[in-house]
Amino acid sequence: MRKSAVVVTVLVLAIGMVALVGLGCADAAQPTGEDIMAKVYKRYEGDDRTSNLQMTLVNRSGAERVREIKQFERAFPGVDKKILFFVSPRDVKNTAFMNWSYDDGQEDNQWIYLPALRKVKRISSENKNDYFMGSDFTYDDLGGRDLDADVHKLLRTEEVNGDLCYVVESTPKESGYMYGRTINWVVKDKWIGLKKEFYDPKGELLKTLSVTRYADIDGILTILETVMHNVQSNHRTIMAISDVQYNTGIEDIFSERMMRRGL
Amino acid sequence: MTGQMERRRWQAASVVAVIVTMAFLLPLAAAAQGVDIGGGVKGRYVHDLQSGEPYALLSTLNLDLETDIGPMDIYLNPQVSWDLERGEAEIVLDEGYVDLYFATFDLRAGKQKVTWGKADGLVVTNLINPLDFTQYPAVEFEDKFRAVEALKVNYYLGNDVVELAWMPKFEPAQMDTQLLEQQIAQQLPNPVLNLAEKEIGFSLANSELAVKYSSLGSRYDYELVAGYLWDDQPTAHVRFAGDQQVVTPRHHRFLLAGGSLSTTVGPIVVRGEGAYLQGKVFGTSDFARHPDGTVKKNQAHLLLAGDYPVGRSLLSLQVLESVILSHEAGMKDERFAETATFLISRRFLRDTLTTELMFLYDSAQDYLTAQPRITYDYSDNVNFKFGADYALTGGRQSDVVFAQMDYLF
Repeated sequence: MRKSAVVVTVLVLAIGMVALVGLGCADAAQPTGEDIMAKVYKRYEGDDRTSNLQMTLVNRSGAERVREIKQFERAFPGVDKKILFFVSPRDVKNTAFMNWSYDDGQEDNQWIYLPALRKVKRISSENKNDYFMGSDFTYDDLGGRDLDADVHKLLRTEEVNGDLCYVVESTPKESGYMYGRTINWVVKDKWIGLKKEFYDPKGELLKTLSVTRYADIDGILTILETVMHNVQSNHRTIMAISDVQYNTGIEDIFSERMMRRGL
Repeated sequence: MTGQMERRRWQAASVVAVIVTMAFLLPLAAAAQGVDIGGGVKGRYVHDLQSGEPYALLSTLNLDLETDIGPMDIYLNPQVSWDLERGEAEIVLDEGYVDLYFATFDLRAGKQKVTWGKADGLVVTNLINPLDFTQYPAVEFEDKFRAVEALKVNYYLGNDVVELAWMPKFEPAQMDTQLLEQQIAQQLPNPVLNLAEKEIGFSLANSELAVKYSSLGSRYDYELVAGYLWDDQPTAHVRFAGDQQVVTPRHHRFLLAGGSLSTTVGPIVVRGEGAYLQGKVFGTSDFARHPDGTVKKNQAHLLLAGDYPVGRSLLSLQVLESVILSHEAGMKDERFAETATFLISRRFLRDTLTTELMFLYDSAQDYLTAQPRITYDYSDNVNFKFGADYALTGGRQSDVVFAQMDYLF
């Protein structure tokens, strides 16, 4: 009787250990939400990039407005710099916007050049919840948010358009943020977001972001077209990127001189 | 009276027809010549609330012509405007200049607008372009300043810039002579206005020179400025001839030293600007000490401002303190003068509708005005502006409301 009890105990322990080891292996195979989002945020996007951006604003009745922008970006040691030149429509032509984003957590610096005033003005970068040029994208949506600003949790994996995706929920650490949570669909091994849902603080779906086109350009996966749909107001913004060039060595363009001079 | 009104209507219709036709045909012609052309047609109606009469009915065709020839860019901005209410027509080259770009410096020569300083609308170091008092109400920046003929050189040191501006011909502030006469008549009994010395002759010795060093950095931006300029508003010199007082407006030089700074403190953009004017000439009624009614003094200006964005709204406060050093009794300007603006603006409907309410306080003129504005972008080409300049206390000019339509091409 005692002997059989010992055997049972050993078997149970053995099964338990196998199960634990198995679970450990499973954990090692499945990255955490933090790991996934870190790879998305830190994915190599070139040392510098030049592109044309066409932003189409569609209202609930289907009427469209198109904004065209030429944009330049470069990662300098400790700081990412970006400058946008507005090409059309006429009322914003020759306006320039420059952003310097720091790795050490210092608040971004932002300036705007208003051709009507012939003046470069420093503007506050803290208003990241504000919408960019009347679009459905906030400044945060366009890459202004830090990885550490949210808690990231892997929910599941699922296929989107044939790509196996990690589905990660990101919940803001600070209270009062404009989104209660976001859910990201990240393509496994490519670390590119294909889809994103934005929920308001009440938990209602506010916006959906869909990547409708991406391509490999000079070995870098590049998002070429996205659609942001505000489901509550039924507005949409289509962002199409073209003429993408990587690592051309742009360096001197991120200055007051170029803001005033324009393209 | 009815016939006159009818004639005006026909004149208005003709001018608008010509302007609209030009607006459509010129881009086609220019495109064929390789010139980048844009511009706009503007119609503005201003109504005087006190008299109940129309104040201005302005139609303007504004063209932006740009072309490049090798390393040289050429920009021309001709304007045709017609005020049907006043019966005034004007064809001007608002700006017209040539840009040359080099590795470390740029050069701009021609009629241009140059903006210095961090203040919005208030003048502290922004003294290159003469003020324009003939446009009322000032709906846009273009209404407040006139372009000046200048040679401007910008030398670049990384993100720092040295800007040198040489203005060979002095341009005074644009003032309505009738208004000037009224103002002088309020201060002096029975004056005779002598405008013979108001113009400054064109010579090298009479040219203006100013320099600015500016830096744009991660913590703050700043400018340091210096200049040898003319006061763009004249001082009234008085000479007694029998029982008459002959008033001769005359411009005077002064030396400028100043600077400005902007930085962010949390969500607030803090701005500051200061100027020291040496040798500015003021009017005085102490004829015993100053027989021609003028006295030379130094003056300092200090501006503090903050812009606070809250969602799609912006709150902006500017306070400017001016002080005349070694002030004397009898001077027409007070020792201290305060000017302040407070602006609340908000954007709606995906930034197509903007509302603004600005209050402007001027202690020297003892007035407080409210300036509400509504701008609606009906489409990328058509926008509407509505607003008012309404004096809550005091007031130099009439209370007005206006409506404006812009067609951009």
